[in-house]
Amino acid sequence: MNSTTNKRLLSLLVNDDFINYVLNPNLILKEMWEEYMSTHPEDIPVLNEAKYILLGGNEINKLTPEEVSHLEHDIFDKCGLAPC
Amino acid sequence: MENSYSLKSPYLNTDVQTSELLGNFINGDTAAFSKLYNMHVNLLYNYGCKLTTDVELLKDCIQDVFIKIYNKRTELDTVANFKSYIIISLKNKLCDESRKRVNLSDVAVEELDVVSGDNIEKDYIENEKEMLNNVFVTKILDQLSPRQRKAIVLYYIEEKKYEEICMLMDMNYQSVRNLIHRGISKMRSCAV
Repeated sequence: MNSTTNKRLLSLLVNDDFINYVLNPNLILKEMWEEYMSTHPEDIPVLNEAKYILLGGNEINKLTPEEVSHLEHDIFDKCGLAPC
Repeated sequence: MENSYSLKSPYLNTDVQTSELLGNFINGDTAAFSKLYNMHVNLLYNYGCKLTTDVELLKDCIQDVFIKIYNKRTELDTVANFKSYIIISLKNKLCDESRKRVNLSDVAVEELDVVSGDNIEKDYIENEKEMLNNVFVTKILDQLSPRQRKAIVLYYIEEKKYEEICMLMDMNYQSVRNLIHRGISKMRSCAV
């Protein structure tokens, strides 16, 4: 991925409207992004990649089970909860 | 326009499961909290890895997001979508931490690798957001009546005074104020 595409991907991943369009869409957001796609067809591949990341379909980076467990333990500890 | 990925269909069952777990968690079920964490931690981690290469910072921020969720659990019934809530929370947390680091004078600029710290990146994002905001405002303006739209454009975009709008639209002062007020109320309701 070149740097311009990467910047476009990042700009989408930090955009609240885009996040909500993917995960919690309403009519206005749908119309807005569909219009954006129709006027910027060159961005469709990067839009799809950003969607895929937000939907959890591309979990390339994962915590190990030990890290997941350790982090959960820290969270429960700080919340004053007993581990499940 | 056809998209490669459906917005909902493959994830519908997960969303239903998340809603049920969220309801149980709000009612005090800590096992549901644990399940929500385990279901979403790698989604957040993978997403966060796109925004920063500082893995320890990312883990700290994920931890803070879940602690916040626990502490604010009674307010979670107003959350429309849990995934979008936690992703936006993590993004905001990473940006806050990035800003804090920028304000620490003894931290070398080279050590800051959260993407939002990059000025070029910020400018790009701001430009992109501004462009999208313009599209968003235009969409909302389309929901108004022609007279409401005209009055709002004259007042907020062309920065005319009420008196000038009265003359341009051949209306009295109070009617112009009412027209703008109703238009803004309608825009607010459309934006929610």
